Amino acid sequence: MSSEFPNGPADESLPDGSSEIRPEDLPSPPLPTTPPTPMRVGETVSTSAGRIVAPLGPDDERLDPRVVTYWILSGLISILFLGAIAAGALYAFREQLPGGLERWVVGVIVVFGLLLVWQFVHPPLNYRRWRFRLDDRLLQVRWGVLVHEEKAIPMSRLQHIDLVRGPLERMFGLATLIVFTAGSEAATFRVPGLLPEHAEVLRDRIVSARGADVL
Amino acid sequence: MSELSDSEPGDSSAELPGRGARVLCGGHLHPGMLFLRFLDGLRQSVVPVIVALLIDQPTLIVVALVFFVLGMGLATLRFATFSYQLTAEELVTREGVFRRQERRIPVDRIQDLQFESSPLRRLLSLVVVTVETASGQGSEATLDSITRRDALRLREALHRLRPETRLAEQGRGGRPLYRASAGELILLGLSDNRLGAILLFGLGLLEFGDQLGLGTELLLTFGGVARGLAGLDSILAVGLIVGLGFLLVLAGWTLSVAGAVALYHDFELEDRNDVLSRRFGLLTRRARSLPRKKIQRLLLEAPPLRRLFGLQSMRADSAGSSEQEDSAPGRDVLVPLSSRENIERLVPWLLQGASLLGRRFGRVSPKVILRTGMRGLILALVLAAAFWVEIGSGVVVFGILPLLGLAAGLLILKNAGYARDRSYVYFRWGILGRTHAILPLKKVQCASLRAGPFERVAGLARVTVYVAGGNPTTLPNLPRGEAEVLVRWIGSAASERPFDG
Repeated sequence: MSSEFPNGPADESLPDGSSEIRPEDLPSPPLPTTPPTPMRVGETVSTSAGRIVAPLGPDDERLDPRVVTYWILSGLISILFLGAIAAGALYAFREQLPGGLERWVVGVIVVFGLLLVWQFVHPPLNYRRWRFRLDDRLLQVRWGVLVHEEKAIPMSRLQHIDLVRGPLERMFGLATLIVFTAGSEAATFRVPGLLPEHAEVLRDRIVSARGADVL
Repeated sequence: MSELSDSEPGDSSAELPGRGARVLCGGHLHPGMLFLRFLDGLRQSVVPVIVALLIDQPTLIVVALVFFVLGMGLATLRFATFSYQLTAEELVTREGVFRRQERRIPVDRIQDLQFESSPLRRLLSLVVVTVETASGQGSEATLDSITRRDALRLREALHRLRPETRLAEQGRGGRPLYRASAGELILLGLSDNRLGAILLFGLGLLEFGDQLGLGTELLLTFGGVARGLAGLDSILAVGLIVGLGFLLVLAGWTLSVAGAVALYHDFELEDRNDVLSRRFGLLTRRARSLPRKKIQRLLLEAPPLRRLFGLQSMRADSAGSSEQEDSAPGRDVLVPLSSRENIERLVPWLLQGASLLGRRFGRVSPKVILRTGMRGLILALVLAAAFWVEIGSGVVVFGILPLLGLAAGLLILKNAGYARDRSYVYFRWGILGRTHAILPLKKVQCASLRAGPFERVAGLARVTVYVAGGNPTTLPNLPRGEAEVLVRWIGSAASERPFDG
């Protein structure tokens, strides 16, 4: 260990019998004085082992285009569901609504109209932005329309991998790959809209890359 | 933890621990634990019973009684069924009637036997023995309570099996790293924010009294006091009020100083073969150990008041720590409070090769000032619109908000930043106070970037790093491009370092 960390604390013992141990009594370790290197846009990053990771770009893998229709349809279903609840609520409270029923109906229709438009606009844009890359050491993804998100997960941290196919996904012939780490819920990694065969290939690649890393 | 097993053996008559191993030492809990549980139960029923009497709800008393009886029943069951045995290979505990539970801890995994004793237990010469292993997850088994003589016998038997634990027990073979001074503990209490809580408690009592219909009486008392004050010389009246306030502050301070000293009295931090061991406490002596390898994140925290005096505290997150923090006071604390220099000097002894001394941090984007200023402006406009009718041109006072926003932005720019080296990522943030987080690249599970609509307009993004313990560490307001590079750097640097624990 100590050879790997030349800056580690010197392996000297303290003089015994000192009743008050203060940190200032400890021999001070040599300081790592690497100046901060500013990070620039588009820079390819080299780490200590000299490995270079390029940013996700247009050449990286996309989802299957069918995912757009799948997203639109599943969004429509949830909007229908919410709409039914809203309509039911309006009907149930039709007597007590302040300011007249018409206003409320118009308001609800406007809100749902906007949601509906967004439900058609969002999936194609999200599809355009979705990119992912699996190489032998790192998983990278990026997605998001209003909120941009990017994630990088080292292969060696993966705990287990799920392949999920919901009823609607099965209709579209799609699958979702879910990758778990030991971090919190937010440190999981989802790749939706994959062809099942492709998802299985990816899963096997991840598992084998992981195995190589562990050994 | 494959070595541990919680099993439910089918035939409970099976002779433990089986395999014909000779039992070196063993026994049951002391009946004194029933008395302790009894007192605990009484203490827990006091508040419900008083409340029940005050609001005249006898059903509450019944509920309290049921809980009391239930608690005593469980304690009796535990007392009747709990047993422990030490063989040459394992320490075995078992308990339960309907669901027999058996736990086996291999002797060579036992790191430490810790004795904890509250004043009442000391009176009965009882101790709570906790068994710590190298897992870093706290205690694996607890014997609550056995007599000190039994505990010493168990410890002696364990020492004979594993001489190295004897060294740990006696504090030899360890490198002392830090010992809290009395002055630091007093400062810890003085800078604690418990005063506000006490004032709130007082207000709550007043409110409670009011609800009980004592409101008029209280008012009369206050009126009497006020009249009495008015009768006095005005200087004397002011003096009295100031004196009263001073007494309150003094009482609050005394309480929190006493609390800090009682909890952390004689705090010692030692490194025993790469296990960080801490012992502390005045009445109840506690001991905690944390293998250095299990540290997921080191946090150096300086809230505003403490930072003003150059003071900080330090704690470490270990795997799964966020779920377990509740029941163990001081579980993750490495240094309750000390000077910034002291703590920064300690860092390399906790995480090998890490250092904050002389480290320069890359800054967040200066646009943060614009962002916080805009937030202040928007808040001011909203408040002005809301109060326009009521206070008219008085809404000008909200003009202070954008200025405060700008000031906060400047402070954030000064405090926040990141740094990196071969093995660690360093984040720091704060407005008036400041927190440093040190994350070993070995422990990084995931790095992520997020840019919401407003952040995108301003060209900003936030970077979050996930490790297996504590909450995620986030640094907002980074320039977008820099954030993207940082995420990729953290991810790929982490992928080059094998993960352990």
